Amino acid sequence: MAAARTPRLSPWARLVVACAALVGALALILVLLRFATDEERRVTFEVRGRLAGLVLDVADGDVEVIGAGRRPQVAVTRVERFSFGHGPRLERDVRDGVVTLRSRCPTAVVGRCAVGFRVTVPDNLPVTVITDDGDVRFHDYRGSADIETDSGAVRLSAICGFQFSARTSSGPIATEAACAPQELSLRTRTGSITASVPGGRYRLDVSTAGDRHIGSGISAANDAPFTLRVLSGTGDIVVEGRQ
Amino acid sequence: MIAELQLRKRVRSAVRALGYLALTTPLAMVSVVVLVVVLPLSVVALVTGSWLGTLRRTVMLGRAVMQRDRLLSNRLLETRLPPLPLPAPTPRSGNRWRRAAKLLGDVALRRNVLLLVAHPLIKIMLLVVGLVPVALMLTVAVLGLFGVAGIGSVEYVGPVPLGVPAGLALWALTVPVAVLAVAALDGLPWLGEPFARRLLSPHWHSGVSVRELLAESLGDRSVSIVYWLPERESFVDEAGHPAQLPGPEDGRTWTLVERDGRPVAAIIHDAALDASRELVQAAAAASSMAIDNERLKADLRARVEELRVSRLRIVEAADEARRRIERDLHDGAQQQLVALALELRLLRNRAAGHPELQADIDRLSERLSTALEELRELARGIHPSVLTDRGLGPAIDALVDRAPLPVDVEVEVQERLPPAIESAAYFTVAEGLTNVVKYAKAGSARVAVRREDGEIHVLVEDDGVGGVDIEAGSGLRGLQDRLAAVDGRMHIESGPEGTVLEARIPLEGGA
Repeated sequence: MAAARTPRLSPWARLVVACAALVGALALILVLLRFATDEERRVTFEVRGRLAGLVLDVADGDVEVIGAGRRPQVAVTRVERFSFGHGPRLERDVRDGVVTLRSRCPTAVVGRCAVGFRVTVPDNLPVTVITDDGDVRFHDYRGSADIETDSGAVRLSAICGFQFSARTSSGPIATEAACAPQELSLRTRTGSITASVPGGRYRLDVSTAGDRHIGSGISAANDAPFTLRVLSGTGDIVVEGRQ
Repeated sequence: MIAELQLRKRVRSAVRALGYLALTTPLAMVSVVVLVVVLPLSVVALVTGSWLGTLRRTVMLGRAVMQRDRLLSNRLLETRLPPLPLPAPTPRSGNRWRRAAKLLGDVALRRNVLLLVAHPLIKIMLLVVGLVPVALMLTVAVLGLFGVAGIGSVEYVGPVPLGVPAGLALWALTVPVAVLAVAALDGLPWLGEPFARRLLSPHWHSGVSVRELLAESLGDRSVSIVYWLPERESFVDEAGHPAQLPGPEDGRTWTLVERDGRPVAAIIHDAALDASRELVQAAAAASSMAIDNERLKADLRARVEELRVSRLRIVEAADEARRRIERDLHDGAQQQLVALALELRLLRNRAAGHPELQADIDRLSERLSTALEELRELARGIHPSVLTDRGLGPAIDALVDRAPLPVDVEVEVQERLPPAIESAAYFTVAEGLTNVVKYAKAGSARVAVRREDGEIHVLVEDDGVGGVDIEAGSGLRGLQDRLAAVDGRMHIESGPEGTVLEARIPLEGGA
């Protein structure tokens, strides 16, 4: 009686299986190594002295800025997450009283690198934040800020002060001002904008190709003391005035 | 070893698959657009019963797009996808709701809409499977170039800094990734064909013959099946007619279908399918039971056909015998009686001056004339020579001329027909008129013979008392048998307003 024979693979099928095994094994090793070498590093430091400003240039990282009231120093908490031991490059520079914190992750295929900043700043210290796709958040901050990001989201809550400028390419912008800022400028190319400010008279500049809604608490007046500039290329705009 | 890999063939196949994806991806996008139009149109047609023509035309547009995809698939991927089902024409009769129900109930139309849904989804699957390995291959190759040439912004690949060694290693890795890319593209038909074939399979609608199933499975619309009848040791077609297997010069070939080791049928298909003979064998094996069932039906049809042909032969033989008797009577007894009548006339001339003898001769002549007329009538009843010589129209005119009541005649068939059909039509009129004269007590009658849809339609109607019963007399039963011998059928309606006798004789019935 003939024994059942296992069907033999063709040479091509054997080659494909071998290649798939090789590529699959390499991919698996890379993925395992990536998770095995994952690191998280948390660094906290303070910047003391008389400061004229703070610049955070963090590319892919997220930034959170919290108002510290009358506390004199800037407290920075930096969280670095990376794999394969390829951490971010960090630079710190002080020039004319302006502290610049810059971080850059290496460009890597398969591998992770991210930096997040949590900064506590005293009132009236001007802050500049520049990111590529990192999100930017401000809480309880009083002063002036200049924010620029590409696809990151900007969220400003309970802010109060003089000049706030937020620019994004596609990221959405949401602001909630505790007091009427002297000048609030929110611009985006394609993102949406939501601005909530105390009700009253504003020098108003609102424009978009998308939908726009201006709440009844806001009235436009050219001689108003506060300027509200809300501009989007195609995104929706909502401006609300709180009573 | 390298030759066994058939690399050249596989790379060519992969390039063709890339071409297929490049050419048909826009078609899938068109399918999406068509679908976006078809779905609301279907709802509108369902709710309002209107826009049916637009709906069908849009579905036909989608079908044309998918047919193009199918053709490219069959050409570039060497699949054998069957054609898409053709939706029925837009219904013209009935109110709009009935027409909408008829159109939306069309299985072929619904399958086309289903295919419109599936078309982009299958395309996405093929794009992912086919292009992801290609993208990976290109990425690895380009990264290798960055490493070797020291260009680009990538600093690390995994844990390794991207320099010359890593670049060379990546180039080496490009080879196995390229093998996977070729395998993925080469395997696209293997992946996509079962999906497409399943969607195009005629199993979706019932009432499809085994031949149609095989035609769609093999992608050869000209497929036919002949069934082996072991008792006759010959093949017959679906209708039971004798069939021959094609020879090598016909451009067609055949594959034997066996069940339990005995031949049951042969699938006759395009010789080009020889390249995938195992496909035909697989289809034959899968459908052998159904084919065996069809074979039994074909056997039955062959027996019925044989019975029909033998009955036709009997009728034809009887007609031939009638014609011979009519000829014999015409050429024999009738000629002798005519000659006798002439001699009697000569004898009467010679008997001038013998009035008594002349009176006897006149009596004899009269009786002879009556006998001759009766003989002619007998010959006409057996088989009218005018039918044989001049055809149906003149023969029916002669019948009507002898009828003792007004008959309206309308014969639209002027050409000669096969003798069996002419005889069947003639005897239908003859039997009908005989019944009118004998039983109907009619004031008038009407005879019509016309050609309709490949049939001869014979009508004999009167305004008599009705009461015709086929079972009551042998005349109509005999006529029914005569018509059945040529696949004809008879219908009688008889009531107080009169009788209508209708017969329909297919023109192929006399073959």
